[in-house]
Amino acid sequence: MADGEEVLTSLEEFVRERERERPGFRMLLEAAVRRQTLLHRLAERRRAIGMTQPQVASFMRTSQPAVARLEAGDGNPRFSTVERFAAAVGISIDWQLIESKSGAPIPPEPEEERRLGDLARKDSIQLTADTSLAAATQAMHAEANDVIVLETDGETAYGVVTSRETVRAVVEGRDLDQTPLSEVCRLVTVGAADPPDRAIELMLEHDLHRVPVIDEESRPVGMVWMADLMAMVMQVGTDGSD
Amino acid sequence: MDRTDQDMPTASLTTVAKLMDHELHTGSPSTTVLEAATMMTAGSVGSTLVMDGGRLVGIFTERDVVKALSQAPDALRDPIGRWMTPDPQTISPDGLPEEALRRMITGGFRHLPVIDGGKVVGMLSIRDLARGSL
Repeated sequence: MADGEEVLTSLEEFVRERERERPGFRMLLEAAVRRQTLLHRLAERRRAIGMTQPQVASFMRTSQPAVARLEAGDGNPRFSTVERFAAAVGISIDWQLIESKSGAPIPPEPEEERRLGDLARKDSIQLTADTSLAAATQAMHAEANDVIVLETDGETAYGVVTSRETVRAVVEGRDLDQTPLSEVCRLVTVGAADPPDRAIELMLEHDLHRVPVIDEESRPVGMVWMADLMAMVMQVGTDGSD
Repeated sequence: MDRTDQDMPTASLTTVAKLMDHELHTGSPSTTVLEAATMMTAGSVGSTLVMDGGRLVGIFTERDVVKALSQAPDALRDPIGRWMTPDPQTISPDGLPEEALRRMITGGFRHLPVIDGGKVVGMLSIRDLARGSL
């Protein structure tokens, strides 16, 4: 059937189109494919000689999950890492220099800039400042999340309440039913256009794990989670769980 | 070739031991929720290690206080043994930060007791990892 050919044709069209938008795209794509192929072949070699990932990991002085990620071709491993992987399975790598067809330098892919607005989780708890801490505590447990505190107009967000506020309040002997969020709320938010580092700094400074993200009019966008930011910074897969 | 720790993949130049909190905040299964809450507030920490003799039997966190109060009005007088997470996951001091983070994210928790030869030697929180990453 022609289906396979059609796929190839549309792939080729896609590559041509991107090449027009960004000269050098084809070469970068080919380089990425070669990189993955190399890693997959090293993984095949490992299996062929009967080595396990933990064995390779111990040769490389790293962890088994790191070897698994390397073999999957995820991320962008260093030269030296690939060479050590190869050495562990008894292979040496020869690098070859090939001039690009035009001989012209190819500009690097622009860094993808991630802003907190894109990283915020939208499923947040939003309660107005006159809500009781008792009700907020129920919601925090039910939703397994912290609370974005809104002004009493219900439009704009100005702070956050976490399990720490509940713990403090009971230690101080407060009646949670009689304590409005306005009395315990921490006045911390980040802007949707801020970079991820800004949120991590604020979380460390204020001892928080989640911070409300607001837009230019102070309306809530969502909640950014330390776990999500750390997974991004440390390049650890999240499997979509908490 | 000179192979130093600097060409470790996945950027791990450090281990759990270097990032963890060495100070242990502990209680026993019969410690009350209010006592544990008071200790956590005083120590500015988010969790209590629940020990039975020298053995780690559970972990009790701020989130467990929230859970207890949501489900039982008199929970402040309850023993934490009733609300703790029993037999929590742990990590070894020479574990890698990436592995610790992966476990926290997969398990949906923020604290990993650090165990060396059956003995609790520290506590690693996701904050410790964040501090190490900046």
